[in-house]
Amino acid sequence: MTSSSSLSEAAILSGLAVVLAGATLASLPFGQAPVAVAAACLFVTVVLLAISVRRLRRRLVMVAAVCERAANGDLEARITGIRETDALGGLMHSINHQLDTVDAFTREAMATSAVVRDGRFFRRIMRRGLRGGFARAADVINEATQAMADKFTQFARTTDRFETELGEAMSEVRRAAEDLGETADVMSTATGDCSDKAGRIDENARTMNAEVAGVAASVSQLVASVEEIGLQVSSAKEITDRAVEQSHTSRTAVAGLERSATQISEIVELIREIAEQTNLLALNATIEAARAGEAGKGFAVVASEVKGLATQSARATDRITEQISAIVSETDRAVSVISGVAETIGEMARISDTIAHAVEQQSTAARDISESMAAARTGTDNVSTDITIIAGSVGEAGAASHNLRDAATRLQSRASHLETEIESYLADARTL
Amino acid sequence: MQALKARGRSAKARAGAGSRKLTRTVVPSGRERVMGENDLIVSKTDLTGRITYANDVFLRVARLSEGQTVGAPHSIIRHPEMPRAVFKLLWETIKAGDEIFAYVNNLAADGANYWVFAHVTPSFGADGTIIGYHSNRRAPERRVLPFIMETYARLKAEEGRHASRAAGLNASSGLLGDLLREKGMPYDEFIFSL
Repeated sequence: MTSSSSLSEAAILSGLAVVLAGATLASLPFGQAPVAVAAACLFVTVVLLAISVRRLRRRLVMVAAVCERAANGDLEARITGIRETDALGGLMHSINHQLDTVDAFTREAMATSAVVRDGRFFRRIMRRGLRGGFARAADVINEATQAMADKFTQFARTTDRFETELGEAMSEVRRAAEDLGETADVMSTATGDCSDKAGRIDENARTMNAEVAGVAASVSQLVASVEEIGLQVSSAKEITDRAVEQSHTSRTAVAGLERSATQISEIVELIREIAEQTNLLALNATIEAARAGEAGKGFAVVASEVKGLATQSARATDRITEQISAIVSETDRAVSVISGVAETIGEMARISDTIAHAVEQQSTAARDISESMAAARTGTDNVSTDITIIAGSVGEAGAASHNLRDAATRLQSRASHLETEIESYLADARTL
Repeated sequence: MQALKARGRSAKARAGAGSRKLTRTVVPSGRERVMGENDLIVSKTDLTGRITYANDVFLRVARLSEGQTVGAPHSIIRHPEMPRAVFKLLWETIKAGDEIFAYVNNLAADGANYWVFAHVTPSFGADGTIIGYHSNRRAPERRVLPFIMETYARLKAEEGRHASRAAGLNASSGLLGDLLREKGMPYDEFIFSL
């Protein structure tokens, strides 16, 4: 009999029971009646206690149900309609208070964690209203949130720096890879050109070699020809020398002829004078014959004959003079021609000398050329050899530039891939 | 106090009916009741905002009995100086399943007002649906109150400037939105930054 529907009710009932029990004991010496009264009071007390205990049990069952709901995580459970102002009421308020605190802490912890889960860090557990262990737990969670916020900020900063620096580095790498690719292309083109050119040079060197050989042969022929020309020129000189000599002889002969013509002219002049005198004599004879008349007639005939002869003689001398003039004239022309020929021959002789000299020089030059050609041939041979080596090197450079191109392309591709990866990483990192 | 008691009695009677606000029957005295540093006012409501539980701190600070409180709409303790835009935002937020913090000025049955830093959250059932709402109220940061009072006064003035209640509420909500845009952060971060 220690519990009641409320403790105050139990206390009152207990007091009543003591008073009734005292009264019962006090009334005992005066007869049986007080015993009956005491028994009735005890009965009433017991009945009231029984009612009180039933009410108390109902309330406790209700409280237990609330506690059970709370224990199962239903933090909505509360005790409402608390009328008791005694210890039981206090217990009920305490249970509500406890639930309010647990509820508040749970909501705060949940809400803070949810905000953190969503990647935001401004939220903290409200410390007010929480005491003791709740407050300490709140502090730890808040510290954890702050630590996460710091780490997140640091991470974001690192990510930013990473993005900036790596971004710059990557664009540099990409630019470098592009440059490298372009350089490889340029190099490839250059080596291609170079290879073509080396091929052409080689071809040209071979052609040149052949041509030099041809020229060398021609030069040898030229030397022979020049020597032949030299011989011919020498013999031509001898001939002209002889011609000059002969022209001199001709001139002397012609001069003799001229002299003879002059002497003939003198003789012809004498004959003409004789003919004139003969004519005069004939005229005189005629005149004399005429004086002699008939006797003189025959004489006149003779005189006439003589006159005719004289006239013929004169006429003959005239013709002779004419012919001698013609001869002299022809001779003069012959002299002039011979002089011209002699001059021409002299000229020719001088030219021949010049030619001979030139031929000599040509001969020397041709020999020099021949030697140069031999040297040139050695040179073109060397060019051929060197070009073959260069062509080999150019081929290697070409292959290398192709490899370089491939490497640059791969590098570009890797750089792009890396950039994509970094972007994706940063995108992921930013959602953390 | 005498007048208040008389009004308070009739207020109690009406609030007990579960439909009236204190502001209809109680004249604000201008006296402020300051919450204790570790006080935690707790109340729960159903989906319509009717109070299903109020803890002893709630009853003590609001000067209400449990009988007056349970079953009454939560707006029972609404102070007339509070802008409606704040409650609009509050209800929009919690109905969306999110938590909200708000500085709220409340009216007690004795005419005193008390500032709280309210944290309102939905309560979820086992199936994840909202089964009610829960509010914890703590003592507010005193140094923030002048700014809050000034802001609320601006919002309230905006609400009174329009012919219809709806237009006033719209304009006031717009003003609150402008303020947040100006600060460059969402409401939840802004309220925590104060």
